Amino acid sequence: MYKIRVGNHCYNLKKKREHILVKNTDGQTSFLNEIQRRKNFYEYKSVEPEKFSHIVHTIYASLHQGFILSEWIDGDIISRFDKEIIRDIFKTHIEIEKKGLFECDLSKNNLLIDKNKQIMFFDFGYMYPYNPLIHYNSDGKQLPIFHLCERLESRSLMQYLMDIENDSSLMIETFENTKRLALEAYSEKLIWLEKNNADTDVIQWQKNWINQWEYSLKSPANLLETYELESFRSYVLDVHDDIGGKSCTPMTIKKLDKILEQIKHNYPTLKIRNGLFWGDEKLNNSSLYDKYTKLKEQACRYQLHET
Amino acid sequence: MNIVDQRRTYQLNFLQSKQEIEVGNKDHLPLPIDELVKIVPILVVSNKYFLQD
Repeated sequence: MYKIRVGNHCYNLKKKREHILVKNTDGQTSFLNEIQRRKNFYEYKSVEPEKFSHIVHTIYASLHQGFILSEWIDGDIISRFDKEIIRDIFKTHIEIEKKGLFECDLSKNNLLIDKNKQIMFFDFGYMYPYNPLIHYNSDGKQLPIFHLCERLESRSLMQYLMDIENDSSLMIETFENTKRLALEAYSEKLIWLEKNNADTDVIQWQKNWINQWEYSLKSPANLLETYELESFRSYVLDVHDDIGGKSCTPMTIKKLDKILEQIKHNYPTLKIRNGLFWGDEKLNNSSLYDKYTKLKEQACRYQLHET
Repeated sequence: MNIVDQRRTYQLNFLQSKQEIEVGNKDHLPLPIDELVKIVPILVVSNKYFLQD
């Protein structure tokens, strides 16, 4: 990605990488996917600009030429998850989902805050089409664990909360805000799903998240329990993502340490509260510990090197 | 074939087909395309935002 200046104007030039960092099919096709999404947003923004105001404007993009030119946005990657920012992330992505697109990668590096303190989205390499009336997400109905709030938590928010662990009141406040705002956004989407005769499974799935967070927000103890379970879930999912794409970072290792710590000290709670998934629920304490110890060794081998 | 495999197959076939996708208007480019595609970095900035996709 380059910043170029022509006259008094600055632009963002994104060129197709010669060597793909994420070494799987999704990584190989991410530039094509990005151009397809830019085309979608170019159309949506021309019809409903207010709903997609947090999406960067594409000036020109070409698959054959291998570049995307956008306006330059003065800003920096997100460093705080304030209430307004979380609200705008959910609001924009609910609109995106209604259009039939699901963002898998709400990672910190894809969340830009401009000089007016507005969130801007500029990277869509892992945003995929789906039918929101019959599918849970872009994996169809196979993996109900993935949804908007979970994607934000797994790809960025839980990492931020881990970084501010020493300030426990800010950490809990941010987590509580996230749940309240997610509840608001999911309730709005539920109305839309019902109005558009969505599949009953999809409606029930949406209601389950709403019910879960209503329970979480009933008491500080419920909220803390939800934080422990959902942070564990997010670390596990993120670690699998990084290892699957052979794109691990020191943060992957840190998350694996947290997972191992939780298995060691909180295994009974994880088991009773259905916090284990994807086969982990069948493993006893020591087998689970061994599994994640081995994954940590793999993550050490797959460390990305910035070039 | 599940929805994910369908998508991946479609995308790989699309790349093989060599079809073009263009977004926006070429006339709004601040520089000719030939010059834009030739741009290479002259300065590596330490900010991660510039280094990652």
